Amino acid sequence: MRAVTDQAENPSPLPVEEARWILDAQAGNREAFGQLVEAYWPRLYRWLFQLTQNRHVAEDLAQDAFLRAWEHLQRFQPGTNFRAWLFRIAHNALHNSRRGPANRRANLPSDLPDQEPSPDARLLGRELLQRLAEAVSALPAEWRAALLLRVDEGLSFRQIAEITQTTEETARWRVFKARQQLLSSLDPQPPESS
Amino acid sequence: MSCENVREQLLACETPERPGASLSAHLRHCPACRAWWRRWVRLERQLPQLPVPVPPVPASLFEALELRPVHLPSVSATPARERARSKAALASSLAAALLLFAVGWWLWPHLGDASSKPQRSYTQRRDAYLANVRQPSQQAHALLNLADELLAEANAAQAKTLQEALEQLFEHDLFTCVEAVPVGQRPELLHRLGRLESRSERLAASTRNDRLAEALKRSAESVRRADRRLRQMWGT
Repeated sequence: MRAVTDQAENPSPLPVEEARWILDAQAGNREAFGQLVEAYWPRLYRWLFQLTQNRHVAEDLAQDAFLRAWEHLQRFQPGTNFRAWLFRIAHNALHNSRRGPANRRANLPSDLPDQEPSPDARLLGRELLQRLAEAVSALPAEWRAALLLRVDEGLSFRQIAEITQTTEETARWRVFKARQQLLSSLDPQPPESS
Repeated sequence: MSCENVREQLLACETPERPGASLSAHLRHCPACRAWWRRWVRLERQLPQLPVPVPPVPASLFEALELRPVHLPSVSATPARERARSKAALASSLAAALLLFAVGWWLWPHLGDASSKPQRSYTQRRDAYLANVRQPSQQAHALLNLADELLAEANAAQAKTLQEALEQLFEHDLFTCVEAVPVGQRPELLHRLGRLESRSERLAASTRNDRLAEALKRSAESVRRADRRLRQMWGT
């Protein structure tokens, strides 16, 4: 696993203690690694859930990713982007799990989010969010992965390319296509031009 | 630059909310594109608001981490030449070990009762997993961690061993400790059983080896049976 370099803007910054936790975890401190797990679990699970649309699979993959990260922690280069490194491990796990035909199934109704919407979600309108969720889940998996890394995680095209093991141009193209398809499914009116 | 061109460039931007100078100039003078751009940026900002129910970190993950060995960096103060020499020595030892392993592998089926050996190996691993845990719920989680580990190692060459080990785990060993698991901790165990079942099924569907697929399907059945038995026993 290569170390993922450069820092991109981060929509929800992680605690300043992160660097310390990484160093301590590399020195064998499980508690410090536990702090990293707590900090990254929600975002990694969220991403995996949106890619798999299945809570059990997302949970399994997130667990596998953290266990692999612990096993390979010595390969992580302190000072580089831990989040991108971790997401790359998760992407590999997802890729491996998708090799079987049974995993290419469509979304199951029981796997749809059933929790109460957040206050923000209520403000935006349930219907609009529902349409947006449907449009996102209809995107091809690799476009969706790239778009969510860009928009949810604020990662650069270069980091997305490293996580999904492709080129920066392909990462840009996937985000572009995902945006284009989202627009056409949510905003079908033909663009007015001057 | 045409409107269509501008919109395509905006969609390909890393940060469409902060377009470059030429795109900004077009947006300043084109109300249609400006309205389109604002709608798009608002829409993209809603993506992180999509509701996803995030469960807490499963206790089983921390337990699995506890059982994983610590990988510390190797520190060496030996000079380069000596390191090269020891690397060569290590390579020869590895080659010898591989040769021994290959011979052992070939001889294995001819030595005594082959069917009992893999079972002993599972038993040893199980005893190691249970060595430092005393509470019944910890013991149950330790066994499920071992099941996770066995599934992670699943391979065609040892399909039968895997199936036998998981059958013993789910049909016998688990039931030596689950009766005393406190009521509050039972749902987490049932949840883990559900995940193990779906994991076995996923692995069975993804392997191209029929023997391994069959072993994994049977393992999934063992998990299902254990789940039913537990629910009956606990009255849940």
